[in-house]
Amino acid sequence: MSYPFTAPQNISTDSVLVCVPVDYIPFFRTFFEQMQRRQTWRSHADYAAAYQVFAQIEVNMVSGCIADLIAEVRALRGLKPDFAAVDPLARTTDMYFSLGDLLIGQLDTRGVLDGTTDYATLSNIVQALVLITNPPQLDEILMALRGADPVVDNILEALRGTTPADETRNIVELLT
Amino acid sequence: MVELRFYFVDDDLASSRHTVYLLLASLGSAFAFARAYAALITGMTDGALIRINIITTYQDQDSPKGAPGSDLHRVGVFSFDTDNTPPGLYVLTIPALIEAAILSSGALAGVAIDTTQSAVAAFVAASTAGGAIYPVAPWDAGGLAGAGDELSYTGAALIALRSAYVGETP
Repeated sequence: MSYPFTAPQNISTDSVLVCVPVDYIPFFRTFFEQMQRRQTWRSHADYAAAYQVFAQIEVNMVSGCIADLIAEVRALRGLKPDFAAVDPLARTTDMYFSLGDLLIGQLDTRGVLDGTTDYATLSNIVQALVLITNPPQLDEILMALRGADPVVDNILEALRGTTPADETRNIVELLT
Repeated sequence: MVELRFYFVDDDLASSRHTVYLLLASLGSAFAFARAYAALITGMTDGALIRINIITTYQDQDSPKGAPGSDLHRVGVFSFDTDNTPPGLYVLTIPALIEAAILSSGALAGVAIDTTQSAVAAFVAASTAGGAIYPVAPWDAGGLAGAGDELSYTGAALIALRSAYVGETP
């Protein structure tokens, strides 16, 4: 029996992940050896093309596809700067940011966290949000914008300084 | 001694081999003889000649045996990248792989081959060195169309080891 070769659409993406117990990997050589014989395939062209597919599958079985998958996940997580000098093949999973690290980083960037709590001890975002006890108030924002003078009731006057606000003047006049 | 093997297939694609031997000092004249001899025997058969192997053999005359515990069915499977366009792979297997070449720790312990082991490293280096003479992936062994066609072969150099593991074959 010999087979015609049917090309896969894309061996990298149109494939399935098969979990093989490591101890059983050696026994698959018999199958690959048969698939890499000329006489298994109908023509030389069929053989040459099929050989490449089965050789790639064999490589994937012992390293390739899992290594690619790990590389993609690690690229997503990002390497911690402290481990930039470590050989990529020697890096371990704790040398990359976790999803929790990335979440806390986002909250820090937005100024949501207080900078003192050990958020690594929290297990979810709800716990982090509960800790936000003093969100900034409007008067504090105005104070920050205009300087050290006490905040007055009129928002326009607070923004423009010491000249009393006039309800007939618009904000453009106040700012010019 | 040169051995010539002529392979035929029948209507069912079943194959068979016809073998003759020549007393020749080199392979050069064996090419021409093989083609002429093939023309003679193809006139005597309805089968189709599909391949000719021209073989010289080194034969150890002392009948040694392998080391205790050696097993030819336990092979080292070495997959190499080749310099085809597009890039390809080619597999070389070494029978009765030594235990010292097998990784004893890590996720693929007992299966993956230690490419830093001295004998393995030397083999990989020689296979991928690209020197004056080096192994190739024989994508086309040469045709049977006419005189000289046996030299129309194509092959691709092995440029890097992609993976290496232990295989079991019956």
